[in-house]
Amino acid sequence: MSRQWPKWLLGALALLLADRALAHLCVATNVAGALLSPGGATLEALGIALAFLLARLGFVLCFALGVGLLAARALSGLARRVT
Amino acid sequence: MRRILQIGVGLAAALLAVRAVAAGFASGADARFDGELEAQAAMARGVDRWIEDDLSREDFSTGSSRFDGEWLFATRMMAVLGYAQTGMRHPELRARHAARANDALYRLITERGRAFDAEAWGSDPLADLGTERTHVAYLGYLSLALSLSRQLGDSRHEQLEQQVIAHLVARFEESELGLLESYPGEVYPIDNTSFIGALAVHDRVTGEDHGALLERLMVGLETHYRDPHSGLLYQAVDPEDGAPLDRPRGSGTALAAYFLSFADMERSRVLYRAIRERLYRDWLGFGTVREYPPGVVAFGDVDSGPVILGQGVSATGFTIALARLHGDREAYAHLSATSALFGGPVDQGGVHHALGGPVGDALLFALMTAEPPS
Repeated sequence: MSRQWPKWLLGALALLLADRALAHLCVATNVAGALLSPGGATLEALGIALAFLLARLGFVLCFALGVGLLAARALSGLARRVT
Repeated sequence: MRRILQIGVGLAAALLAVRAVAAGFASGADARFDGELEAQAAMARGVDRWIEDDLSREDFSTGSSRFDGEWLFATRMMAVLGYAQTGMRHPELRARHAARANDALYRLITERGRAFDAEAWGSDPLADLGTERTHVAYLGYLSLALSLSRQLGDSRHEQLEQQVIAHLVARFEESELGLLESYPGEVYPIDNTSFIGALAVHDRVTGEDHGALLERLMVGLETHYRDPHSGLLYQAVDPEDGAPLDRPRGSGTALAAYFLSFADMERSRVLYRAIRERLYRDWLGFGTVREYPPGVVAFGDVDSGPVILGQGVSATGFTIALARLHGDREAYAHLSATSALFGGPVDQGGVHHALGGPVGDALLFALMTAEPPS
């Protein structure tokens, strides 16, 4: 499992790029209120706002997992060398 | 044993990574906390767009025509507060921000700008100046925007400011509750605190003295409309006897503490202390504020915004102003990190927020640049 860290960090990078693009799209299309008060929001606005939020939270999750797995892998490598 | 150690180290590294992300999202918070010119000017440039655009209620999507009107009103009103605060802090921005505040005020007082309130009352708030009708949802907030604009040195709306203040002073002097109706049959302490802030600014600018009235209103707020257990303000009260109709809440208390800071920093600090002790949470560098005291489970509404695991979007945002006003750098940075995580600031020649839109940009502009009164 701990060998998967590059994939998680690459995933985090991809999500960060998606996050930036979606943030600009959110501003350009003014979908801002969609999540704050979804009562009158269109499906399109809700979709864009949710995609941005998921990309952003996904980035945090992937980055934390990638770093955690990298640290576990490093410790494992160190232990092998010592023994 | 080695496996357990590996999991422990991995977990610790993951938590540290989240903390690093929070620090990244909070980058720029120090510059804003210190009131640096470029950090504040970038926020102002973001709001310029919404003042230049001829926004209407159709640009908002709350699902309620009245709330859309309130959000449109809040966009311009909070923009005026932001322009006034930053204009006062930086003399080199003063003339430009006074002009911007004037543009925002002009749009606030158009027929379209006051329509949400006129529809609720069945009569126009400006035509009702001098009558018994109070219109605090519109006139309370407008009075604060007008008085701050006047403090900035802009005299273009001086006459209107004087009229609005005189109207509300007369109504408050006759009010046994010490609170006025926002809409017919609806009384919200938070709306009333905007006028308390306005009257204090008005007195400082004009040299008039409404100290006795201000003291009576603030003592009334503390003794009748503040929950003795949590120290928070009730969100809504009965127009007949002032009995609480809603629970004490974070969003109303935080915004009220911001407005009260224009009148009395110490009373604002007391409310902030209650929020800090009872509602504030820190999650690995992300600060949040509960909408309700611990133990209360409730959903969000138009005042609180979404409430996630008890944490309120509005309460968290409004508290940023209090952290700056009361010198709490750590809370300011951690709340800013959360605001950046969920708001998504984007610099496009000025700071916009992906999930903020006009009202989010204007609110954060005013809240993040909140200044102790000079």
